[in-house]
Amino acid sequence: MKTLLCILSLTILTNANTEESRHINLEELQELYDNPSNEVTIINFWASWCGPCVREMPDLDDIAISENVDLYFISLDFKQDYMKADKLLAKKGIKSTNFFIDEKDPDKMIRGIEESWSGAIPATLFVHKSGRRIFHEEELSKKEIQTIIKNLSTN
Amino acid sequence: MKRTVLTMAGVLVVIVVLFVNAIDSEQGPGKEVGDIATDFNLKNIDGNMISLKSDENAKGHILVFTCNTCPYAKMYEQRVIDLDKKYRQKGFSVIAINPNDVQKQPGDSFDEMKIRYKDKGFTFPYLRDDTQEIAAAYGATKTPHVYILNKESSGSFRIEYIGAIDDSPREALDVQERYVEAAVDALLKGEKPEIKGKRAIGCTIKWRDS
Repeated sequence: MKTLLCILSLTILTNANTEESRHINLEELQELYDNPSNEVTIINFWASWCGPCVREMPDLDDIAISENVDLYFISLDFKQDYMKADKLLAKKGIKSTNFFIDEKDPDKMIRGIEESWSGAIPATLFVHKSGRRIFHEEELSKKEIQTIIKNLSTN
Repeated sequence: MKRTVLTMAGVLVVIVVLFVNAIDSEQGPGKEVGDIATDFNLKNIDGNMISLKSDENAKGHILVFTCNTCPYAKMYEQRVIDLDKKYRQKGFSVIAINPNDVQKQPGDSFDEMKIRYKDKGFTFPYLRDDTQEIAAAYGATKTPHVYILNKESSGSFRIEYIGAIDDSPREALDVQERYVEAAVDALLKGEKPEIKGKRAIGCTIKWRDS
């Protein structure tokens, strides 16, 4: 009985640590970077099945905390994997907000975000409050992220 | 004299840097619908070299940049096999090309490709683009990435569709729009595809570090 209670409370505790990400549609997502509250807004597209995505997330998260940057993760996971994605965020200690995108038509979503995006992930959109934007389709190193932010802020 | 040599060396360095950058940025644009397809000569898992000229009777090809390791590519494996089964007899067979760098993705090595081919029962060539030149020439960025090629009377192949296979990666049963089938059906009737390109999510091609 004691063991059962122990397992039960452990389960509750573990679940409490895993926050459920909210959902967002394409228009709401566009608003996030069309009306920025910070110098630079970063939108990173990822999925729990994408190795390079998961690799670059902690670097993005660290930079967002230390610099004048708003960072949003947009998960392109399938419905079946929502819990897996949330657990992964908790495990990696990601502090920035993650959303699941509700857009059934991938072609519409991809073109709606960036005309040059082929649909490969990881992909990251950097938007300066002036409206200038840099889109990067491929994994980023910490140095590359910092360089893009610097270029956006100084040019 | 010394100064001239130094200046010349400097100019040379600048030219080389510009040249290298130009090559680098050429990876971006690649081919568009309406362009003539670049021919290739790549090694199939059986050791034979395959090019666009290999099948003289082909009316066209469904060219798929794919790999062993990308979850999206795996979800489409059966559907690619089905496409080949449906269209090979009609003259539009599948050619699959794996462009991933083996250093970065050991699961895409030639030996692993052989295993995959056998396990899945591929009915089409599965080629290795070791130099990644073909993926770059087409402007492929991800797996899976489809190019539908239509053979013209001149013998060259024109690209008539680029992009996604259908509109439901995860669930084959939920597919509403079959983009590749619709495009090939149109070409078989001698018409141009109505939809020339649809984008889908995929895994970035693992480019080798230059």
